[in-house]
Amino acid sequence: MTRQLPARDERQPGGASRSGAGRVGRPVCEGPGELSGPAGRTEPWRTAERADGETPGDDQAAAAARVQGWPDAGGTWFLETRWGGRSGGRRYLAQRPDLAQRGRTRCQWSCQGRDRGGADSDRMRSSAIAVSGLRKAYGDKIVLDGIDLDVPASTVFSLLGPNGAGKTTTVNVLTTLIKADSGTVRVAGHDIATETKAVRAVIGVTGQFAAVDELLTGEENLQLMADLHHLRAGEGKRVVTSLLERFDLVEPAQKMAATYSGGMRRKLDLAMTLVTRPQIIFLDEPTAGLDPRSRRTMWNIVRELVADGVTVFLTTQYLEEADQLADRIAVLDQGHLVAQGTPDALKRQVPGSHVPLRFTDVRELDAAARVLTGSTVDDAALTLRVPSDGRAKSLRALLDRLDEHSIDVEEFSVHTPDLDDVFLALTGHASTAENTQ
Amino acid sequence: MSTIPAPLTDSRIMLRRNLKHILRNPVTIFNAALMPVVLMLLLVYVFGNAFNVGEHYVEYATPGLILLAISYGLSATAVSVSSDMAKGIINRFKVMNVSRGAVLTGHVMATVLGSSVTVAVIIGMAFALGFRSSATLLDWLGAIGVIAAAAFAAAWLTVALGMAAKTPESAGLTVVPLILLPFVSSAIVPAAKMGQGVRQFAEYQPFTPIIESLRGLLAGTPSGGYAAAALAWCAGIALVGYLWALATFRRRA
Repeated sequence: MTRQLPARDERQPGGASRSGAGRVGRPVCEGPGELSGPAGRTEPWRTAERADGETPGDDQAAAAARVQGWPDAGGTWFLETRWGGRSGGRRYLAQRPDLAQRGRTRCQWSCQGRDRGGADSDRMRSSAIAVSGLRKAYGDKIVLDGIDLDVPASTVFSLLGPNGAGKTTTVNVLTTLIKADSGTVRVAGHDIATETKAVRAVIGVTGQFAAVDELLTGEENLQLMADLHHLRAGEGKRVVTSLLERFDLVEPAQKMAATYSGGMRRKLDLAMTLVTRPQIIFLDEPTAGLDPRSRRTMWNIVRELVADGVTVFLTTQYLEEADQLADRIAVLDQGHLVAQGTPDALKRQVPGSHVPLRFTDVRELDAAARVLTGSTVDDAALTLRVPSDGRAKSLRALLDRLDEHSIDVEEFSVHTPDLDDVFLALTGHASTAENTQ
Repeated sequence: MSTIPAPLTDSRIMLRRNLKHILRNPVTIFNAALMPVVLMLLLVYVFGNAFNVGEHYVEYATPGLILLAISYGLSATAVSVSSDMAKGIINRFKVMNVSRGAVLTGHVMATVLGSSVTVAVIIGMAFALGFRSSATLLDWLGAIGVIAAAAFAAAWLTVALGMAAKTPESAGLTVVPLILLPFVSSAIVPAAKMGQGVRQFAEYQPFTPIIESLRGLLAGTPSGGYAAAALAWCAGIALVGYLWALATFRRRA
């Protein structure tokens, strides 16, 4: 992983409400404002350009809006406003080259228009998925032991855990495939036990094993979904064509799905899920077994979905994947949630970054350990772990100090805490994903 | 929106899916027709004259071979149903508000249509080998009805067997009894010529009344008793298959 992750949490929910709340007809965050920046500071913000000239109507202004931004390589930030949990589809551009290279590539801040307590603000507060006290056992084996979750609309929630943790069981319960032993689950406000049909109407599921019909072509698979959703012939055809284009499957559209590569199958699978434009999408290990390139493609698709206002419930055993995509992560281990929070909040739970120094012999190692107090010695690996913030300045100082004492370092690197460390810290055992990644 | 009820529309969509599967893999139909055709040639030209059945042998054997043609097509259905259950596609259908039984009825209808192709081949072969019938149009319609009922019942039972099988590999074997049963019926030689025990079994198993009623209809001498027994067996088997298949479908997530 080449990306540097700052240890601080730069996404402070509601932590940067703009001044001027209450102006009718315009959400305050669309004008000049402040950005709760990557370094935890608030920074001035100026809207450079708007993609359309419209101002949101009064109803929308009354609702809380969430703005999400991400920069391109040149430091141009794209901002998107969501109204009442739905994408407003309005994009704002702002030139902030100074923010381009900093930390995470996504920032959020929230702002509050005049809240008239209308339906929109209710919808904003409502969860896409609310789970409490979920239990499921198969005979003596307890698979889920009291799960509580809350997934706000239009966010990515990642359920992270090793094989056998209960991820797929959770998805199967949430998607009405199997019944829980106890606990309540509401999906899009509907109880899964009593309003199964309503739940099924708003969800889409892409399971762990590509659910495509191998004897049908890519196009026929999509058409099958359109037919089963009783779309009108013309409408169905249009949806199928646009999905084939969007997922880059036009060329193999007439080939049997059995001939598709793993990555193509996953894309087709997800495209089939999207035929009905579901509000909430469950992705059960969407990138398991994919090569790195296909995985990136899948990640981009997930990001696009969220930008469209879809809520994504993602399970994964790849820690990097949860870190890349999720707004919130829950760590599942043997049927228990051992932690929940933002990726950064989780990362705060482990010791800070350090620099592992490797030496050629024990003598050098001991000499370095004497010089660098506060570091941890690993005799077997001939390695010294030196706590460090990883900045160039402190690294230079560290190396200078070793130079002064003529200590020869074989190899060194900077280890930034990642979710692998979190998993180890939380569960006391390593994630099995490390082996497969 | 069409005015056709959703379960019918969904079943039709599933039927189209299953028919596409058959067309993509026509060798399954070929395999289903091959054994009965070979058997027919063997029986008519090699063994037939040794059996004293009281009539022209091709006329005696054709009804039984028609049933065998249906039976031989069943293993493909069982495998197909079981593969559906083993793969993710079934869960996709389940979370989609698709009518519960549509997946099953799709398989059943596709099996019946597949059987009609192999049965037509056998009847064509029979005529080519000298089969002559004094059946009236009404008799023929009755014969088609009995064949359809038998195919329908066998298809439901097969769908249930395929649904209950743990793997697609084992699903193909679950229908073996359905392929063997016609041999221990009046399909090839009259039950009366069999030994003690086997004869009673042959007389009381479902294939015998179905074959006998078919034989009567094709010969232009329909027998009400056999026909009633045949239809009762078909209705019973279809009902058991339907209930069993549906229960298994609901149970398996």
